[in-house]
Amino acid sequence: MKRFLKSKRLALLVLVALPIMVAWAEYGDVVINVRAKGEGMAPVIFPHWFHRVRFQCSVCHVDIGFKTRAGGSGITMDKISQGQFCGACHNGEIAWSVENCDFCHSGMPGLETGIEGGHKTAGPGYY
Amino acid sequence: MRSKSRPSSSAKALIFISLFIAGTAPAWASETSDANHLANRDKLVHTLLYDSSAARKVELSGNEAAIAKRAEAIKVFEAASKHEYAELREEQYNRAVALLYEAASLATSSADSDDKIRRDLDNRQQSLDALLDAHERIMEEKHSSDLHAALLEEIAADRLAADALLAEGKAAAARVHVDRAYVAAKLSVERARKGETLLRELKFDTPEDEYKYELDRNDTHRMLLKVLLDDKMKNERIREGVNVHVAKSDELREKAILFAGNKEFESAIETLEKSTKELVMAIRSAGIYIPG
Amino acid sequence: MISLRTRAITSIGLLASILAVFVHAAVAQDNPNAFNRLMKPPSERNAPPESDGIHDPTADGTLMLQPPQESFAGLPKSRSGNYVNWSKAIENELVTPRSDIHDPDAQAIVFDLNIIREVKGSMPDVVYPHKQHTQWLDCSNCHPAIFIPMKGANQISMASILMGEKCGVCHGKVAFPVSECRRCHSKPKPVDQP
Repeated sequence: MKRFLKSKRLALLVLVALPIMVAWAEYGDVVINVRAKGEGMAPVIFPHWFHRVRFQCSVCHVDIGFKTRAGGSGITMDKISQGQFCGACHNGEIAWSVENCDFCHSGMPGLETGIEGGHKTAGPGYY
Repeated sequence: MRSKSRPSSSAKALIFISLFIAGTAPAWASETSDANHLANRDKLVHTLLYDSSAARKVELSGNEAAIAKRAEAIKVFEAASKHEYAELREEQYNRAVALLYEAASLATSSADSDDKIRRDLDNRQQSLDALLDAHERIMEEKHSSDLHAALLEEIAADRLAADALLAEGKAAAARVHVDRAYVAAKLSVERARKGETLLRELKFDTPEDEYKYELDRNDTHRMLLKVLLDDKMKNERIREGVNVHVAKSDELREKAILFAGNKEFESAIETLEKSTKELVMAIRSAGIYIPG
Repeated sequence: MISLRTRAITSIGLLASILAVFVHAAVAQDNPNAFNRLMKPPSERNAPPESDGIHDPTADGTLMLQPPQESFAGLPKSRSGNYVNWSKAIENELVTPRSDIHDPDAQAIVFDLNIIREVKGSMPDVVYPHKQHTQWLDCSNCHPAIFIPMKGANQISMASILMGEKCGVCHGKVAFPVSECRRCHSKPKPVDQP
């Protein structure tokens, strides 16, 4: 049933969303495509909004040690598997585990690493 | 910021037709989707097992147990690809992923993970030092330096323990002590400053400082010009009007920099203020009000 | 047989979509007097992942993700960013983000200290509330890497913020954008001041 719903949503999307598609990425979405590109994987999209509903900023940006610069943390699947970075929660205990590759690796091919969603600031601080 | 409008009626009609077609998509579509899904998974798990950073690390580690684990993962994966039932295939893919990660953790030397723990610890230690500095200043200001001494005493044991553990290379254990000291310092600062309002007045120690501030303000308005007017500048009439002010502003800024070069900071500040004012006028002339 | 039907329907649909794109684009360009030319209509805000322009709409994973509107429905609104007033949302406990990975009940230490920074010109002075910030952040997020916790030690300018430094590390990226001038420049100057 779930699959059926999904396929219907997909069909609807291809037919409907395309014509009215305007690229409005959600504010704060982070595209991480530092290594994925070279590994033949789709870029990762990290939705800030989803995570801030569940965790305070400090949990990831202090306790887990994510940098506040897109692409600056040096995340690899290997480190994630050791419980670092995303793997601190995405371990099948706090959040779903890493076998769901395409929940994260769901970006359009060729996206540049950076923060999406308009109103962005610029300059050297912006990777 | 290009002009956007809702879809026209003909576009809506097309959407409607598309919707209709999609709405009538029968259940057999789900079979195709299942097959697609499994094909995608096959590809993703293949990448993880053969090409990922974890796979490469296992291969290069020379660790026999890890290499054997990865071989087992690959065996499970290859068998899964031949499974007839979708659900069983999914299950086996998950097992292959889990095995690969076990292999990766077997191949991880403790030095690898210590690196990050060490970096995080350094950051935490810097924050602790910053808090302690702030604490000392606050307590001096409030004439309660004894409270600062009390805090230092409270966290002394933790700091000693952290240093000792670090000397032994046990960064993770040291972190527990640094964290405890950090929380104590944080709570003490919080108690001392709670409910206060501090004022940072606009006072400059030297005219040169004020000149630097004005230079920054001028830069800011130049950036605002870009941020706010990028789109509007495509209009020739607006561009001409804006450029008159920008040219004046540029001229004044150059003058100000010359003044500053001669250490005539008072004149430099005054000229820069005028230059910034021209930028404000440029922005306003394009129809955007900003305070000056 | 089945696959033929699928292909036929898909191609009709695709053709329709492509046509519609052209019609839509043409109409948008032809109408300089479109209502609210520069205002993003609510229908275009918070697009679901599959139509936000960065997620791959054909990836299975994309369709498993939560559409933001579903999450934001009950949250207080704002005029920009995610169109959610996050500080109000946390203040009113409409969202209760954990302050500890493992312990859902751990309480963050909220620090109630306001800092007022005077600025030149007629722009209102800046009020920096530690309270709203420590509801999300820990001291060590900012101190000392971004701000030195000492009066007079931090030169902050809008230029640096727009370059993604100082406040601009978060504001303009995840926290409300710098176009919301008055949320920071919130303390009007006394009337008698020149």
